[in-house]
Amino acid sequence: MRLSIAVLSLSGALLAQTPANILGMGNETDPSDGPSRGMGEAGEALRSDRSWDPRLEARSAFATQTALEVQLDPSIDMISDDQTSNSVGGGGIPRVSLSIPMGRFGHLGFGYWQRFDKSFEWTSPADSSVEAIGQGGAFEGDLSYGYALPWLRGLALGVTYHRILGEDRRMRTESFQAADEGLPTVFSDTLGNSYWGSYWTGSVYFTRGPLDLGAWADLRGQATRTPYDGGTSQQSQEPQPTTMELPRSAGFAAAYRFSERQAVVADLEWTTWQATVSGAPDRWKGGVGWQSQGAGDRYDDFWKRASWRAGAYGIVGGDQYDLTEAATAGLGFPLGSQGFVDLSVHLGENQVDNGGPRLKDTFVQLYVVLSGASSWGQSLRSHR
Amino acid sequence: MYGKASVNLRISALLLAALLAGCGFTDATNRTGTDFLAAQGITISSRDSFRTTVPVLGVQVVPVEGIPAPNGMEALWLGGTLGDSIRAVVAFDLTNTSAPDAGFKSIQAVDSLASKFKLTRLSFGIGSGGDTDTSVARQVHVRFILVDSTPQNTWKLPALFMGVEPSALGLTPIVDRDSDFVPSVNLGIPFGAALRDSVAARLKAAKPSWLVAILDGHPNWESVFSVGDPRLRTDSVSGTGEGSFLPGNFQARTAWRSTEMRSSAAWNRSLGWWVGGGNRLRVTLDGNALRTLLHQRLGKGIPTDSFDNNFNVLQARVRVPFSGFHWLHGASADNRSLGIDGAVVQDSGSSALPTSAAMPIKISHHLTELGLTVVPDLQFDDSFPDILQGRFYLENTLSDVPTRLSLGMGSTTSYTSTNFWLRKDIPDSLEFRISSQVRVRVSHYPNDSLNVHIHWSLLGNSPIADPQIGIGDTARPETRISDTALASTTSPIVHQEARTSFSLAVMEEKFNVDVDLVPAGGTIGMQDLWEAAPSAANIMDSLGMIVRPRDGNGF
Repeated sequence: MRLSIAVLSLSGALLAQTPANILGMGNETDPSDGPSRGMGEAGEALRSDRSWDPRLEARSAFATQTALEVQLDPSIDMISDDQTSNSVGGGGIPRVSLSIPMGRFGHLGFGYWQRFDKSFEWTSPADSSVEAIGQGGAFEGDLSYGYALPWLRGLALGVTYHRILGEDRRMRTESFQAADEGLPTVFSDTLGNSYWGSYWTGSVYFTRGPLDLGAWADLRGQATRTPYDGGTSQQSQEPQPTTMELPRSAGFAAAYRFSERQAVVADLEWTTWQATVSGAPDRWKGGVGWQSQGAGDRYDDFWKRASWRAGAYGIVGGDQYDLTEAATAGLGFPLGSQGFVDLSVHLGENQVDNGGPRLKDTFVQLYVVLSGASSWGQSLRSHR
Repeated sequence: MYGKASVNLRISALLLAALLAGCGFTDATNRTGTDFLAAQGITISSRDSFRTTVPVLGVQVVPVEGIPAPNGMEALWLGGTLGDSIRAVVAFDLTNTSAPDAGFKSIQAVDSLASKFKLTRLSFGIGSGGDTDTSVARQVHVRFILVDSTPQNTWKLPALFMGVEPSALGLTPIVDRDSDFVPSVNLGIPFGAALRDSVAARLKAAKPSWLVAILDGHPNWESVFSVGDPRLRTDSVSGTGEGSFLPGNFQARTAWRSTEMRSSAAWNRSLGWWVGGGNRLRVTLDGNALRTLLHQRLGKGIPTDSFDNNFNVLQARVRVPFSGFHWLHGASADNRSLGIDGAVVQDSGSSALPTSAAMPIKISHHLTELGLTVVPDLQFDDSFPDILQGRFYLENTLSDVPTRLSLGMGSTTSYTSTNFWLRKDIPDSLEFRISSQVRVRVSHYPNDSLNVHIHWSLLGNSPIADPQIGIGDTARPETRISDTALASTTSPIVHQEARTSFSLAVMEEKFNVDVDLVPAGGTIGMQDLWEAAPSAANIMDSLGMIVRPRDGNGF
């Protein structure tokens, strides 16, 4: 218990920003659910009463509990290049979701997904009065529907509508103070983009016995990107909205429950960026994980009720030219009779692999996931 | 029991985590990733500092912004400074039977009572503020004139209020002499028998008349008095109520006004501030020359159609030398400074119209763009001798139309209405803004007496001045036109920060930027009078800049 408190306390003080986030649409966040964060972000297919994933909505067609999930991810990056190194903090709210099973009418999911993050901060070594800052990023509002096919036991289909919106910006500020001036003058330049668009994802899920399988694919989507500049300078031109193709992903995930409480998971996701960012290579992300599910009720020992997780994942390519490997560990435990806390730590290394100047960041990222579940919205007869 | 205790601890931990979320730590400001960001176009070029001449397209002398107050709106001033005489004109209506002093006028109309309560002097109450001196008598030149209250003669009053000489209006003073003057209730300027008898005769005959007193202070006084409460008094009645003639009313306001009589030797190219007016200096910057200079020194980045966003002007210090400086010696010497504000002139126009014209200013479309929905009216009345009366009317105006002088009849949220006068015997003009971004100048010239000239400008922004805040939150002494150490110096030099104006000039490729050098008042308002003559042909003789290029496509 004391350990969990210490981890929670530390989590708030850790935060993550790297200049690599300036590339493409920014750092891409995986939409995994809380338990999956601890399993190498590969647990999309692991059957669950309460979990929801905006890509694999079909899995939630078998959910039985209404669940609200909120994720926080404070992190710290140790950035290094060929000359210097530094530690910087960051953090965000990668996901908020509401999962509503509707019995024989299927399943409905709502979610906010902070998919891209362009946060970074940098101060010129040559002149400390000049600073560059990145903020914001495109995010998604997701609406999904899943349905378990009654005539094919264990098979479900899902569809998700993704609304892309939000904006990112990068700013350069300079503080100038003449020797005879009492206060500095701050000069600020901003370049930003706002986004508005949508795409669809279709998914299929099959579960039978100890085996769970899921797959998803994005349909073609487009967004309007409107660039703007501001700050000290006036608009150099009228903002001209342009239409951009959105990246498209397809993925496959599997889970195998080899004992009553233990399971292994794996996933592989492919994303094409070519139509979005010219020259960007395809992005591959794969992960594996393990979970030991907690058991018992509120009168049992705390550790007996805790779930333990571990995993690893890797990323290659994409608009950020990622070369990432990370190990994950997770702990989940109940919070009262209807709540859950899932804590996951990611320890990894990320390099920009675009042939340019070297930039590497070693990150420690903590996911704090709070979820509450109930049988709200269902008749007693539909309870398990 | 165990489980219950755990829940409380967990809740506490979660609350703590939530409170700390968003806090950050870092071992230093991040300086890592310089080469990486440079590869993405984020580079920081070194800044350049240099001194150059100020490229200028033109220089104008323009009046201080605002509409000078008509009669009865400002305090009544009398004095002399800057080599000028400050004139006070007061008109008494001798037959206004509804006035507060009507009873006394009736007494004066009866021979026996008039001989008992003889009008003896013009006196003043002690004025408020300023350089008031009640103990030292000064020589003032006094003229008393009786004017018939017929319309054509009454219409001569605005010209007298504006400083036109009585002789130009066909008026002959009954009294024209120097007299001792002390701003005191009990002392005053003696009438003399001739004037007293003339007034008594007019009162007895019930002949509608104005008695106009014109008082000229001496240019060498170096004092300005606020002479309130003017009245005609008797020997035997004291106090402030009974037994006095009070000033009459003209155009529904008290019939008095002060004006500064500019000396014939006054500088015609100056920056200054005097009773009822003043001068600004307007410099139109040559943006093309500035851009060419910067491109030659620092290179050219991304070309754009309308804006040059290649540079951050971190500092632009202009040097303004003056060859002469006059000020009111009695006032504090360290408050005279000038402001430099700049505005982008997006559009402008000029027209000469007959003085009898009653027309809307042709800028209504700009006002509509600014959110004002009505056409402003600017009308003229040429029926007053030697002056041209104008009237400005604007509905739905902002109540805080910026102005340095009084807006006459005031403004409300529903309309602004004010009248103003221009002298026709000398070149005369006034400039005011009818919104924060529309500037109008109205001028009349003796050699084109049948026309009034209107010049208007649509500004791209409200005029912006840069703060001149020095160390310790005090004004930088280099910004003053004279500080204590320079009070006896006749050629002060001012260094002002004007980075915003010059940034606008560099950026705006399609519009000119007008920079106004505006005289700033001191601590005693209208009495803090000063005037300075610039020595440089372009007013600002040099410019020190610190500029950093904006970089490539990164920003």
